[in-house]
Amino acid sequence: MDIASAGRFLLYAAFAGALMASMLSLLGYRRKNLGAVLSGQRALISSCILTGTCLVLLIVALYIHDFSIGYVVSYTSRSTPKAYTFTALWAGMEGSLLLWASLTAAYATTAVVMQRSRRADLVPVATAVFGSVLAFFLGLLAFSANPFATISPIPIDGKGLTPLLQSPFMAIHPVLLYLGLTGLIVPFGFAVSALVRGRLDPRWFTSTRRWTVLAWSFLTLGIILGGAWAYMELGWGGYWAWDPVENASFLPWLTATAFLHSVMIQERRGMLKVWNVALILATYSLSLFGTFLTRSGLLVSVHTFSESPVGKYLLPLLGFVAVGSFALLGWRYDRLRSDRHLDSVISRESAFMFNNLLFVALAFTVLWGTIYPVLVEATNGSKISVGPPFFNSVFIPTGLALFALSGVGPLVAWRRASTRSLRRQFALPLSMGMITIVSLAISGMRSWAAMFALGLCAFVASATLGEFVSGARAHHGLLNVIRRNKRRYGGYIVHLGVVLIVLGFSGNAFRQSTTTTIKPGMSFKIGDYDILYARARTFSTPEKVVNMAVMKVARNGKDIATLRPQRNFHLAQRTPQSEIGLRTSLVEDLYLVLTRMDRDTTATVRAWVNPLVAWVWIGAFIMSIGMVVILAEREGVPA
Amino acid sequence: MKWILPLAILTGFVFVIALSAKGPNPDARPTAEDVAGRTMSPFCPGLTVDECPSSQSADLRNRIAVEIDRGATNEQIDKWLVENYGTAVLGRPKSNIVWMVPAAVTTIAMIALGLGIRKWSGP
Amino acid sequence: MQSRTRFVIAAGIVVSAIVGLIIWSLTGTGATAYYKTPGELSAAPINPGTRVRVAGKVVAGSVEQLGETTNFTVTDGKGEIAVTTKDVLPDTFGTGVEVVAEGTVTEPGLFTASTVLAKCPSKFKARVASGG
Repeated sequence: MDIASAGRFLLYAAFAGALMASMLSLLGYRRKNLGAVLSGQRALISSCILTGTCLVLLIVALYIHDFSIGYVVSYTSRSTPKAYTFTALWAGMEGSLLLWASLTAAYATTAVVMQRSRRADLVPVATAVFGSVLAFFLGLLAFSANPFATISPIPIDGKGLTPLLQSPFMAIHPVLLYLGLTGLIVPFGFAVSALVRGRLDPRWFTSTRRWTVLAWSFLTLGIILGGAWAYMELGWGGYWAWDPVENASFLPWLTATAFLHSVMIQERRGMLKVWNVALILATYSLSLFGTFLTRSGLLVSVHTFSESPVGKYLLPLLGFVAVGSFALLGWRYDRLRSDRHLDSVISRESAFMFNNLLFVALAFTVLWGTIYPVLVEATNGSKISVGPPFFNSVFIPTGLALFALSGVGPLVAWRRASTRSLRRQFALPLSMGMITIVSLAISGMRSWAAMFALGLCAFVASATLGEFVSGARAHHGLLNVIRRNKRRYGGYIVHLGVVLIVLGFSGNAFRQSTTTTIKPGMSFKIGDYDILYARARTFSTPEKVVNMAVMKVARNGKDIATLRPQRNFHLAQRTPQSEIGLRTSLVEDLYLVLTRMDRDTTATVRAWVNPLVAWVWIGAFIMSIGMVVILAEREGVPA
Repeated sequence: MKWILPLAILTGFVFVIALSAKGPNPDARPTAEDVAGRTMSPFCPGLTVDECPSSQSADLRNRIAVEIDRGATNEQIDKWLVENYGTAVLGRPKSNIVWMVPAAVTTIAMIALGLGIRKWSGP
Repeated sequence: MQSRTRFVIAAGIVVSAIVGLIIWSLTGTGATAYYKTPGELSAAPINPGTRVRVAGKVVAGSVEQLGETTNFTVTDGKGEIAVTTKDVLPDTFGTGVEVVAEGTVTEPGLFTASTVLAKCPSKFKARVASGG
């Protein structure tokens, strides 16, 4: 049996398994029939194994160039480097949906297997939810977007993988994003289960907390590495463009981050039960919305949307999940009264509530800005843009306010903060922030936003570090205190990572750029740099014609680097593509793009000086340390 | 009394948002960098003219600089851009309507939170 | 009143207010179309000599270079139009690329363009492919 028919058969079987899992679990729950519940779990496990096998089969088919499969023809060729054949998995819609389904299945199955004895009450309905979502995606794959569809006659070679996907970042960040977006199904399933049962004690999220943190960590790193990929590969000098595709992964991140904060209030104080459920329902809906938005072709035009099968089917699913889960919430509303009171407006609880308000308002604004052009085009056909000017004017103030709250939170006591303790707690961090702002103003900084951002960096950093210092004093050493309370201090480490990322963002206020057209032997200046176009090199490889400009970079008369930006012509795709020249340092990046190279070696070069960018990547690294610390916490241990 | 601090912070925040949401003064003369940074590239979807690596964008940046040297104001340069490249090049939609929906939703959320806090902090 | 009923009524009012606002925000944004598609041109031909813009994809195998003149065909899936131009084409121009040509219809089915803008679609596609 060939790979294509085996794959198709396994997809049908996996679809049937997921459908059975969902129906048996629901039946078992309604009839209190343990046998049916158990069979449902087994069906889910089988479906997961079958889906995983499909994924492996597709990877094998891509690797051995099985050109009888249409998907393999469309996204690989014999000249595609072997190391990148598996990135073809997410080059097209069918492959990426299969990856989505496989990861969903893996998360759901692991969660069910691990929780079925400890949370026997919540697992059956959760299994039904997992099974239904999985059945939907597998049905879509089996009947509408089949990655194993064959073509005939079998071509000799495939069309090849777009060169943009042949980069190490491209091999990592989509997987991280998928791992993040699909993992959110675990808390979603348990939340729905708790709603159906009508009991919202914190167990539904304490038992899935590590899953939520894990998914959130993947999502965070995926988004940042996506930015790194754009920075290194796309050659426009930046890492975030408020592109709808970027927004699609940023939206669930915003609500998931809000959720990670607000569950702490429910745990500590028994408040915000309904809100927490609503947040996780919204988060998973937004995660589906992201897939829908990027995969439906809606962003390219309304026209491609109407032709895409995914758009036709994903929209009803999205509607069903969003409307259905919130209807469930409305139905159970009166059972979900909070049992505690807020003691004071000035307390850590209310800091968390403001944090949530801002996160959700930001998420809504980004969502609105993303879909507004689509809605306008659909209603009256006119094309408009909502671009960085809109998003930045909302994101920068709101983001900075959220950032400030991350410093305020740890300084304010739970329940009720006394004026005296507030004065004592805020004295040092606030003065650090003020000193930073004043000294920046004296040294002649002109950008208010950057000045404020850097002042906040100092404030948040000293507030957070202060927590480590006082904790270490009270508990005999820094490592000891972190070990004793991994969630809390892991969270603070994540916040310190955010401080560095904001430091990196603030560099955007001081970007410089220039465009010049020069011949070999000529040079140009940007910032402190003198850049000499030493010579041009042109040569061919089997895949591309390489046009390289060799640039000698000097600062203050001293040679510091040789950069080689390229403009290559890829033969298979018949498209030009730039490879940037980058010199990075902790202070600033020098970023060169060859936008044009004429026959007579005249080159058009666009150069940027991007201050502090490296700190974004360093901050991401610190954040990931914090994530590992949080994940090391054993379940069920209170904060 | 305890309400004054949160309310003051909130008002300040709303003021900053409103200030940053307000577009540039239509009669002021911008710099070429300002315009390139706020105009969407007609060539590369999703990127501003400033970021767009296409050589056509380099030409457009030069043309913008020429228009500004001729004394074009914010309003005039935007009009010129729309005439030549369509409404889709404006990075922020011309009408302020686009702001209304998120502003309304946020206001409702703030009121709801305020009511909630009052209810929860009651006896 | 039960708290559920109150919740549903309050939520209903809020949601319908927001939906109303959304609908209102979508009306009144009407703008004249910036370009026409080949399909629209073949359905409703316009007078020769009127300046318009035509947007569509370059048909595979249609590009031919005759000295300074380039001829190619543009399609939107519903109609096609032949374009001829003496403009220097950007290096992003090629088969399957989305272009906006500005000029006049010189005779039925033939468009003479003074300028041709080409989009760089591959980057956006790669973004979509990456899922982020």
